[in-house]
Amino acid sequence: MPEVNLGTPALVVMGVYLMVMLGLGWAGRMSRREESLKDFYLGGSSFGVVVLFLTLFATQYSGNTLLGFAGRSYQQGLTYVVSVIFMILVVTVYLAYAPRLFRLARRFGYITPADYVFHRFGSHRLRVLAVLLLCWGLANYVLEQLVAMGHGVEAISGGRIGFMQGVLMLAVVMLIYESLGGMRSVAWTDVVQGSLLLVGCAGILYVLLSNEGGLPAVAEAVASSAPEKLEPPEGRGLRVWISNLVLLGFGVAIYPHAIQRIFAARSAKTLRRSLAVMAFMPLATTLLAFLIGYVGLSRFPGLDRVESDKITVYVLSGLVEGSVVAYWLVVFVFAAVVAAIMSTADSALLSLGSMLTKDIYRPYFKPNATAHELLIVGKTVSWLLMGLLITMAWVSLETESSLWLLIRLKLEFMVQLAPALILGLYSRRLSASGVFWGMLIGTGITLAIWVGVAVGLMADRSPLGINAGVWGLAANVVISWLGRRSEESERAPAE
Amino acid sequence: MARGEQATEYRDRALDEEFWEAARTGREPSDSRWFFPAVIAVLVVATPWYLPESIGTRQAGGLPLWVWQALFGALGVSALTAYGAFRLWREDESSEASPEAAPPDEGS
Repeated sequence: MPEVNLGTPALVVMGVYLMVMLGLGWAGRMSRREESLKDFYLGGSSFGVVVLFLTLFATQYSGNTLLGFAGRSYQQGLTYVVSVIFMILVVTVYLAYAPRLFRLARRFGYITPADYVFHRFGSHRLRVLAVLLLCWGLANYVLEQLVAMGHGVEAISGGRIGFMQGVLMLAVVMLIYESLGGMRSVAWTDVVQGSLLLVGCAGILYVLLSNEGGLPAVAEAVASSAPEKLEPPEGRGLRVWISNLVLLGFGVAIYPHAIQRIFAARSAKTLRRSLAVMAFMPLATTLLAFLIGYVGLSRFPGLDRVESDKITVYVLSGLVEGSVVAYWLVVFVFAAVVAAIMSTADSALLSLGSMLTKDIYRPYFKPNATAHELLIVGKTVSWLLMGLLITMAWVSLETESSLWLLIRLKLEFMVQLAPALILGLYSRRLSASGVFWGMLIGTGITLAIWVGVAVGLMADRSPLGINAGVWGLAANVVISWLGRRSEESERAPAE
Repeated sequence: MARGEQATEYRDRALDEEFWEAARTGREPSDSRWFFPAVIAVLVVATPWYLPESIGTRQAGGLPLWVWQALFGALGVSALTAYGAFRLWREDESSEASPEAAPPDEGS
């Protein structure tokens, strides 16, 4: 396999980039308006179109988009073009709930998604279950970014900076700028990270399409080495396609850190405009990852699952020798990949801290805590969680798990919040107990399928090609719907 | 609002009304009868299940036609979504400017 060594200039670029991130963290702290949860976790709900769009973009497109999606495209073949569609569908799903949730957040001052859940349903056990599922998903998400972070820095430095050194270095920088200015610092760093990602993706897309005979040459090579990767989906493949649309389309749309960006918009107008532009972004970023996997099939055939997760590194390394321009473009893109990883990890970590502080610590441990105390607890929780997750990233080195496995684990649980979030905004009769049992049983079914496969009772985590999380979601929707309050109780006078 | 599980089914109606009133102060894509059905229709068209093999597997620009079908479908969903965000989502400006309150149970 090719070694990637981008030399000293790449390390200098990396160093400058990290210094800029710390500078923006400090600027975020200097710009704070008050010591409140809203200012720290939502940037005072003051983001205009440019900042909101770039922070949504940088948060949505993670290290996994360019590394994990490309690997999946390599493993699955052209049927993974579905990734472009489900990433667009995420924005469409926002339109199903964002208008109402934005108005409610503006009116009632929500900080976290669980604020809405508790306000709408008034149930403690539902709030705790929702927070547990979201935190499970987010912790997995941060872990996935840390693993990608280690691989990214290792690749850029040609192995001069090791996996764990890379993880530690970037994690500490992230924690510092996040602790300094909260969401405002994170969003400002997202502006730099999102811009890098956009320009880098556009450049690499151009090089891939114009280099070495472009896609026609790729098609010819793949037709001879792996013709089955060019086939359209049939039967089970079509069910997998639909299952992916449901799981990813709804699951990614329920990321708590993305929901908090909806709360952070300055106005509905800025949110509408940002989402309209976001709807086209998968045609640049996800499409690029899909094509990297496709090009990789022609240039590096026969990689196993773990090696194919590094296909982005291999394909880009092949461009380095081309010219000075190509070299700098690749350096730029690697910086963009690291930026994408950091921007997603910092947002997820901030969201985790906010939920554990606002939705668990305050109501159940210290109801009279001041904003100052809550902010200290939130920052401490972030540092402790990061320590735990870095240890888990180190363990993942030993197990060599595929990145894709981690994604599926998080989305299958997070998607169980869809009925509470979406149906809950439309049906007045949807009850807390119906939604609670739907969420619990949906999660239980998902877990049962995973455990069934682990102990050998079931053969597949996607029975009939439908993902375990989608089976759970189907049960969840039915139970939530059947558990609605009757029309009589709806009309009955309040107690 | 009373707390605890029982509060779920017997919440204060005044607060309940306030919640629903705040949620429905503007227009949104779901108010349009055609928007989400149109998205589903484009998703069905984008799914490569109907092109005959002899046509779908032909190459154009290094990709089979069925992949182009999916990509044009993706572009269609993007365009619909952008239209929904721009044209079908309207806020009552006075409600946007209304002062914020904390959730009924807790301070900000």
